[in-house]
Amino acid sequence: MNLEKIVDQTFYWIDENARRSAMALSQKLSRRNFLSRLGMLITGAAAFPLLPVKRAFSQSAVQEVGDPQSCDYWRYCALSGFLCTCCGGSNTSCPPGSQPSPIAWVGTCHNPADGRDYLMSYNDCCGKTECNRCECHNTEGDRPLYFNSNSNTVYWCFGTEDTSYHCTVSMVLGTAD
Amino acid sequence: MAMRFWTAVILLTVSLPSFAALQASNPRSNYLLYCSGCHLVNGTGNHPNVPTLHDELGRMLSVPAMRAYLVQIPGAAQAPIDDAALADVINWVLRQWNSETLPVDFEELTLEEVSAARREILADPLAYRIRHWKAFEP
Amino acid sequence: MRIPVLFAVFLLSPLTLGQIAPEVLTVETLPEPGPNWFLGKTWSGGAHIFDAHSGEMMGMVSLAKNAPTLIANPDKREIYAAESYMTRETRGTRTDIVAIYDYDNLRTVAEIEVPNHIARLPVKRHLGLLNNGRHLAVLNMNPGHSVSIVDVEDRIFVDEISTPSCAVIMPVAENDFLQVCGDGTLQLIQLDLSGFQQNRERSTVFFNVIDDPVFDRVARSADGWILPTHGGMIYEVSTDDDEILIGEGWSLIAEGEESWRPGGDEFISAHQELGLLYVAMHEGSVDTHHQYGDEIWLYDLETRQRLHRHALEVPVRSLMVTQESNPKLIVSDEAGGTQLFDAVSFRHERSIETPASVHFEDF
Repeated sequence: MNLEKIVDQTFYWIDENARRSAMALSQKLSRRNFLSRLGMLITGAAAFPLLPVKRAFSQSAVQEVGDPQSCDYWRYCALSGFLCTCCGGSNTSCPPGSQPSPIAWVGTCHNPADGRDYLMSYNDCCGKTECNRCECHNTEGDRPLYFNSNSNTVYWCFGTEDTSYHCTVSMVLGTAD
Repeated sequence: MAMRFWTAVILLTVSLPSFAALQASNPRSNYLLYCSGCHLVNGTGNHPNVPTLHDELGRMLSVPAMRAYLVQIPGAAQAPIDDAALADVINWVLRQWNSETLPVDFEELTLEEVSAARREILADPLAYRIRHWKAFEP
Repeated sequence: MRIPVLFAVFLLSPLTLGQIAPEVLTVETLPEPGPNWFLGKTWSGGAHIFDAHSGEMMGMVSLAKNAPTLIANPDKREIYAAESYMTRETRGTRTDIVAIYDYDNLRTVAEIEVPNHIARLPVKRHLGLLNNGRHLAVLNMNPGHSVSIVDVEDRIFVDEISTPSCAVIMPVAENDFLQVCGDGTLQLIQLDLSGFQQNRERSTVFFNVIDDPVFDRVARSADGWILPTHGGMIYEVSTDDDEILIGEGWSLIAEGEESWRPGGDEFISAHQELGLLYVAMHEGSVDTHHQYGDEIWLYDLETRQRLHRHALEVPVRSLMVTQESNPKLIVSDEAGGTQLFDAVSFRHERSIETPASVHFEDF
């Protein structure tokens, strides 16, 4: 499988098939292997300007505007924690050596670039000391921890080998119709 | 070792809030919003702490008492979506990932069935599962 | 001549020094905690013990990072904490324990291993002491919820009780505890004397988790618990054997005050005997429930009248009123300081600059 196809499939598009193959791919390789390959590409992506952000890798990319290292960035409407974008990762990759938590909580954020609402998955990257940079505490839709599906003030490092919290990403899962 | 079983199923009038603002228009999106966080986008869960939604649910439905269980487990019952949307999500999950294990005479969950089940609170899902199906084996 | 005199002084000095014995390093034993003592739980350190009257730090209970909280048991002169450790601090094999510290030396006298799912966030009601101090209940999240029961007298792990979608631990009666559930009910878990679940009950639905949820931060009252909601409603709850009693809700917010909401970390506390309720309030929209308070509002629980609105110089994250007859209001502020007030007059008595406490516990 060539690199371009891996990149194309790492982002959660509307295209269900693309998403399913990405998950299938991530299961065939170990998760770390998969992400380390992705990491190579993300590092390359950092050379591109961030404002305005438009992913150069695929036509069906989510349109972005704003600073992904600012707490006001549209993706972070319900993010509580440290931004992985300030810690050597991105919104779809964990910093080197940290472990992506498969279990997350999912919220909905409004994208000002295209006026649509998107489903956001807030996954934690784990197994390292707290990153301690770009701390955000946005609580849109946050509920107490007895209501799992909407609770952001919990360490979501479940399902990782090491469960210490490092930082949080914000991935698009789809549009919220 | 004596194990005490009980099903604290309480019949009460549940007034459900209006979900319009939070409810997506299709079962896949509602699944992503309210289930995928723990059960993952592909439904495989996270062994051993989060059960998979593949295949096992279909087998469960060979026991009639487990139909209500799928509605009453808190993750399903408490999702802020109305009864029709909840019925859609559960049926969607069964079609997506359990088509090969569903009983031959399986009939999809109806709105009436889901509404009725949802009005009973299942306080101890683990005990119910052990009693009617089998213990969750991680 | 000056030089020889100075020289003589220098010669004499060692002789005079030789008569003072070197000091010997000893270790303090913790004095007996008074009702005015409190513990300041930090985020990643342990808990610092202070005397509210003198403002002096008396000692520290050193804990694992992110230990939810600790509970003192004056009858046994022990302190219980739930802690999670990894062999290489942030990685390696995880071991969760209940640790028992003694009052005198603030050192572990026992450790009991528990399932590795302690909900590791500083929240007071992640621990509860039941059954006259015999059983400690520990909240787990994995990501489903459960409660581990530890017998801290016999020092053994008893059982893990599955409680999906219910959290918070509010001890009631002798052997029981209440929880708040995501379907808008309370759950009552009744234990037998060995610490095993004997019965489970659910209340009627009394709140809506989407529209106006009950916080996972609550205050103990004289006969039960005080539950605030995001929108400023108060529900007073208790039990009568297996019956869950929920009082009619009343609002903290008067007409014209609709922009005010409770918020912060442990922002609510009550003096049980005097029936006084303290709540940190801020002005904000929906979903600002973590915002630190700009004022502390004081209520009489009997009449439900507001007695006082106290404006703060620095916003407050957590507060606690001590249970003595001359109570202190202890407040943790945004600048990391701890402020001590007279809980009735609100006279500011003292500032303790460090450390920054996330919340407070008492003895």
